[in-house]
Amino acid sequence: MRAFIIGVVSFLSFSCTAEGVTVRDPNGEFSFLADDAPEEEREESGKVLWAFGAVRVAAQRVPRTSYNRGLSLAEVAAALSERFEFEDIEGSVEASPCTADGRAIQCLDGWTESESGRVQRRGLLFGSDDELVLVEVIGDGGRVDEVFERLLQSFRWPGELDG
Amino acid sequence: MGLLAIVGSIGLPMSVDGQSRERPERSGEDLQRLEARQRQLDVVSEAASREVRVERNRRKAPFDLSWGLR
Repeated sequence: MRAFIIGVVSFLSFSCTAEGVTVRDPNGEFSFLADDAPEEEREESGKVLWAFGAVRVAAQRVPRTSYNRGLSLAEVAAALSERFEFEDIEGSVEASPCTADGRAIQCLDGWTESESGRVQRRGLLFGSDDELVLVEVIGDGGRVDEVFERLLQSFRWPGELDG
Repeated sequence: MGLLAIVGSIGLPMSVDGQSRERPERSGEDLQRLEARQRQLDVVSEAASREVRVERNRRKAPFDLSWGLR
């Protein structure tokens, strides 16, 4: 019965372990641990959203094009950070180097105004020669820090996924 | 003749007969008008360079910034 439940849950791209809930990217790109199973999982043209109460983990991937091919992650992160500064979005997001599962990537930290008020945003930017991936933890209050720290510590890349 | 009239009107040191001459003193009103025009041009130029910068950044990092907000 337990195996059946785990099987069904795995199909939904997450599974429960003693350490918590392993959430898997539907494209097999990465996984991370959360305290609880997401209440909602939504996919929309290359983008995935998991809702954990008032905190959401939003992942999106974009292909590299002639405009950003050859740019370092730091350069893409700087451009992303400037978008928050120069576009009609109230808020500020800073980028800095960090490490996830032994890989040097870029971390983002900041806030923006949304329809529901001010939200905190913390994220990871990584990628390959062909694509860029942004995973953000978005919500209000200190729970964003809590979810983000757990996500960063438990982040795993393809081939290293457990279960 | 038309060109000379224009050149004359923006204050280049040249008379209608082509002889160079001293730049005339500008009146306070003229200066104010020129400064206002310069401010307008600065605003337009700043907006244009901001647009270029926004577009470049969108192409470098083409993510949906509102994903996860709704």
